[in-house]
Amino acid sequence: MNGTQKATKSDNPFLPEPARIVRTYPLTEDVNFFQIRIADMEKALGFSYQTGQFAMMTVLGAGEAPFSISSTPSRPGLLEFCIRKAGTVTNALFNLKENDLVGLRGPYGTGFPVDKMQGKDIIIVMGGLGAAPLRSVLLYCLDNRDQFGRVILLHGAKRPAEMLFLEEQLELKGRDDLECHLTVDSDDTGQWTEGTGVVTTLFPKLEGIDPENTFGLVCGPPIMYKFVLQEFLKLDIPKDQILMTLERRMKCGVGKCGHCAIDYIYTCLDGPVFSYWDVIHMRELI
Amino acid sequence: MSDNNKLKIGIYELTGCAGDALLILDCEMELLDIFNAVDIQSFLMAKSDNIDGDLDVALVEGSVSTEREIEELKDIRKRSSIVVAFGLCATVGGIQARFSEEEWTQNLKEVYGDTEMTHTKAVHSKPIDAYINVDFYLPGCPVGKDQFLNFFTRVVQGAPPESYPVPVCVTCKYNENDCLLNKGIPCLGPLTADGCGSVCPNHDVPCYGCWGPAEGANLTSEYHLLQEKGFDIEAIKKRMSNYSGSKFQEFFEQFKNKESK
Amino acid sequence: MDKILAKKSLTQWLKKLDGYDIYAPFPQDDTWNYDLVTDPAKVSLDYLNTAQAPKKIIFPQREVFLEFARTEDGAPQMTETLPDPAPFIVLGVRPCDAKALTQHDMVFAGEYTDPYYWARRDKSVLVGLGCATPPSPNCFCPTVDGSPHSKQGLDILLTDMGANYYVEALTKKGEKLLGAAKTLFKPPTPKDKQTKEKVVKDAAKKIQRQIKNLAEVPPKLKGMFESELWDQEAMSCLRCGICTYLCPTCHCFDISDEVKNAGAVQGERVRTWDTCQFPDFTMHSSGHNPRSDKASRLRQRIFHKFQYFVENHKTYQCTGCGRCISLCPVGIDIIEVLNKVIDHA
Repeated sequence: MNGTQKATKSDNPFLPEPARIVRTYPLTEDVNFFQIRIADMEKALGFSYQTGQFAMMTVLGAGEAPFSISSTPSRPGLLEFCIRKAGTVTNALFNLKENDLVGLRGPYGTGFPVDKMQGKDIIIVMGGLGAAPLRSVLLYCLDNRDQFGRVILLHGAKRPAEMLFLEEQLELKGRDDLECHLTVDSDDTGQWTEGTGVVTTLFPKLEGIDPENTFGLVCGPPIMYKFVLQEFLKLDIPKDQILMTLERRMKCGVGKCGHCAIDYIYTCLDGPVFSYWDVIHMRELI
Repeated sequence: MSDNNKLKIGIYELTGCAGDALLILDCEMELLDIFNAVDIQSFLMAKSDNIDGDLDVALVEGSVSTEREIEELKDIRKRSSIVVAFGLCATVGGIQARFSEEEWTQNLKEVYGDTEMTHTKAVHSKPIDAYINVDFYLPGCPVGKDQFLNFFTRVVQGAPPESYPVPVCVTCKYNENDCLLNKGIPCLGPLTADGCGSVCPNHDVPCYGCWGPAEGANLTSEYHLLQEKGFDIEAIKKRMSNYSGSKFQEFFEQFKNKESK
Repeated sequence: MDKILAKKSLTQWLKKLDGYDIYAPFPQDDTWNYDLVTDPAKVSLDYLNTAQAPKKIIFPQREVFLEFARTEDGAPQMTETLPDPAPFIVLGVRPCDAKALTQHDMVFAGEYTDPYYWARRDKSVLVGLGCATPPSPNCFCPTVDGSPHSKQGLDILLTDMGANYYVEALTKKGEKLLGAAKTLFKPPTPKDKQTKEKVVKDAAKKIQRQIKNLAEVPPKLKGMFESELWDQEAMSCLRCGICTYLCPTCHCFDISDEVKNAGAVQGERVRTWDTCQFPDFTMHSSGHNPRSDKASRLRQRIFHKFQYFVENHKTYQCTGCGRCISLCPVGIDIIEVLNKVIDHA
């Protein structure tokens, strides 16, 4: 075979699409919320994605980085991201204001298999910045409430000031079709009315779990996975129904640069959503 | 930030040759841009009206060799949001810090005898991070012009500067040089931090390590490699310790222990 | 199409190749490296192998993806910079290096095609030179399903027959090159064909190094993830990156923005080669690093080449050129490592 592929100009997967920051405000001390709309209106409305996918966001001059999409595809037009100030690109993003232009490439990766999750009970466990991708699937389930069984949210953070989307979730607590449990490691405000303790302490609150018909979704800091996965296994949830979305250093997002390669897969093509089976077989995953 | 929203910068020199500070002035084509982009509050080499107040970024050159410098350094840290170790001496201590405490005490006696120092006391020379928290390191003897300009551009834009967690070998490979080690020439490239553009190997001169130690350098392996190739091991030890300041001290301690047995 | 070309006619042929840039190996100090031909008379194919693989011509070390600048009203503009090279010939490519390019083709195609790579690849014509004797004491191409006269990835294969080359045009692109100087190419006689067969046969026997049962490696590796072998092998690694930069099959890269001035945003987004042998290859922004130690990175290199790539593309990501063995300053030898894997219980 001697180089017979032809790529036309519009097929360049490395070219970002201009997008505008519609809104940005701080969620916690080091995490900001960004609402982005692709500049071209037609493309913005036509941008379809799945919960759990990610996009590569560009700040020209600083670089590009992958961010999970926190909005739900059931509300098209605007894309939402939670971004923590951690490096070159994120620092530059924090210096931008509403109406500034960024670049967007995507959506990439695998999403949560919502078609397999139809009619099942969903337990969503969020820790720290893990709330970012899981909010997408949480809101999707709530928007399509009749397609799912029980929807349970367990959310843990270090302190109330570090809990992402706290206000939004406190409001969601009012819904009677969502079981919402929040907890912090420690309360330094004196006004915390929810639970205290790590997120695994919320598991005993779950009653009547029907493992065969339940999906467990988790995302959080690396240390959290071991304990939450144990809890899921204790509940006898089948291993291919335990899903997680994992972080990896990415550069191209399209399975070529090798940074996110683990085992024989690329996290940007075959992930970031993985099941427990994948984790057992691919040992560098977490 | 000053009124006109420019970053307040201060450039300070402790014990060193002042070559890094001089390098800023050496950027002749970019000098006007540099002075326009930021508000340089203190720069003894270039200004006479220096204000030592609150700063956004302080570039500190040189290692700490007197008690007065310790105080000065701590003061700089207190009033600066970001402190940058500017140049090799500030990053790893430089040549003056390559001696162990014993050797330093001996040297001090040899040079100064029993003379009493009145205005301050000498201390064993150390890099600045021995006394304060450092936000960024910019090694080099002196720092490279390109590297400094890149760093400066990032700082002005509010982005963290690029780090070079790789050894010189990376750039040397990019420049398609033959590996000098493979040719039997004692090159310290694998131990040395990148950023210089492999300037010496480009001209067939082995790397002397003047950018300081690379993160995670494999000292044992390089040492054994050079030994295998038959180099004078005393000469190699000297060469390895020249620009590594206080960072390779631990490695050399183990030889002292072995030799004294 | 088979022809014979007298070695002394090589320069004449090159002179007739108008409209092509030609890259050939030239001596540089003690070694050879590819460079653009300015004077065809200076080209000689009497060489072993280049230090740097020809992949750098098609997949350059540094390549600009796009340029950006902030316009007057403050909105940044991006300009795509797809390369549009003149058609070019790479002369004297060893079969191992050509086979490596076919592996690059697999990587840069797929679900997303890389237009920068293909813009160059489509314009390339590879003229290979078979290895009558092994160019390196560390060659082992037959072990990894290659051979000193393999045709994979080539448009023309030259077999060295002493005073002549036996020329085989393998593709239309190759035939076109022959057509540029028809008079220099004679049809082969039956004796020529015999000689060529002998050269090819003898060459295959001369390969010094081999791994007897490489097919055992991929399944064996699966069970060796936690083995101490990796710690032992990685102990002397100096982390210089030679193995991955000079490897003709390695394709990992980095993308970064380079800003040109301190005021308005103006610069380029560039792609540069990267290597999995450095710690920040997998460093997360949170500081967590799944491959923080050298042993895990050495393991990744071996696994990627001899297990992961095999699962995805059914071929070893190694063409047996031996560069990593010859040029590693501390002598980490991939053949030794693989033999140890095979001997592992």
